[in-house]
Amino acid sequence: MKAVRISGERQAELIDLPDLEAKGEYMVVKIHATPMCTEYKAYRAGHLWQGIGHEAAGEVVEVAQPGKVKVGDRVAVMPQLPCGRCALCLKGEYIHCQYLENLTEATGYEGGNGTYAQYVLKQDWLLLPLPDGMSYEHAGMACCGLGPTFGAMQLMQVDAFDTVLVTGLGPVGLGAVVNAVYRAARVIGVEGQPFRANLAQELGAETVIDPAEEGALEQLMELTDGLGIDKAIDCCGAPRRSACVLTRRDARGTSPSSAKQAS
Amino acid sequence: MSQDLIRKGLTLHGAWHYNLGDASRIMQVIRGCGDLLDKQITHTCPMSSVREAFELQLTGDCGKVVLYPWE
Repeated sequence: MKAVRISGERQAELIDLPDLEAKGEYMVVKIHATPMCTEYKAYRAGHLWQGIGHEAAGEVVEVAQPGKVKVGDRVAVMPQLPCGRCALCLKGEYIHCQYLENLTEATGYEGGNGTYAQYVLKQDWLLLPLPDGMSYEHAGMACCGLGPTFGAMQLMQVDAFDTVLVTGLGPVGLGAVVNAVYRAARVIGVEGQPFRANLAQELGAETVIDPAEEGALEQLMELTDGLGIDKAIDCCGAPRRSACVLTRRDARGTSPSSAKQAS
Repeated sequence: MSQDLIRKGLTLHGAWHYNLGDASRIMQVIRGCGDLLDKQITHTCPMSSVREAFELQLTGDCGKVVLYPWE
């Protein structure tokens, strides 16, 4: 099968890897859509990497034993190789599993576990069946396109009463806008890249503030009648622009001036 | 930490993904947001052109980029 390998600084190539075989709970999925995530950072830096990618949607084509999905099922592929047996896995928090499996030990396959490939091996319980009519492109968004910010909004219980701040409107932050709009929350974004700022507004963000502009925090306070933000999701990773710094709303009535000092 | 978190009384969560028990709910979001996802996915690209796709990502002028492994 064909797969992508990062072969140097700003170098990537297609390589031929051995065909996959189902083994145990590991099923073979034929990939039809692979959303790109942060692999570009390794491409830019030239980190040699085979088996890249962790997002995909496709079709189960081979199983070794009966499982939660069967041949022919259309599925979204979930990330990582969690053990499925520890306390975190058993309560659904497999993404934080501390006992990740080694694909080669588990299946004998040595080509890597990436989704920048025509097929991938994945445990049956990490394959989410797709509703009829859902495209593979949309289904692929069940991973990082929508997943991290959906998880954050579940934790924060975002709803229509909330104003949500999203700092950083890259592929994950844009997903936060979609998730918040779905929940009928009001969205304010923080992003300096014009294409992404515009796209966020097309997706339903009410306003996007450029963090490099003078008075960004004041603008935020004005937009919220001096109250500040209810809930925020940081998707930028830049500490000075993070949601933590820009958020000042709390249950104890902190004055606006303390937020200014904090910024 | 004190100024940015404690004195504001913030609750901080780390969210990398979602609980497996919410899988049906994220499918619900996807079904309900088809038009928005078509906008969020700004580019699709054959996997054979992955370099061009990476270069596009480096410009920042894109939302989500989707590769097609069989093209």
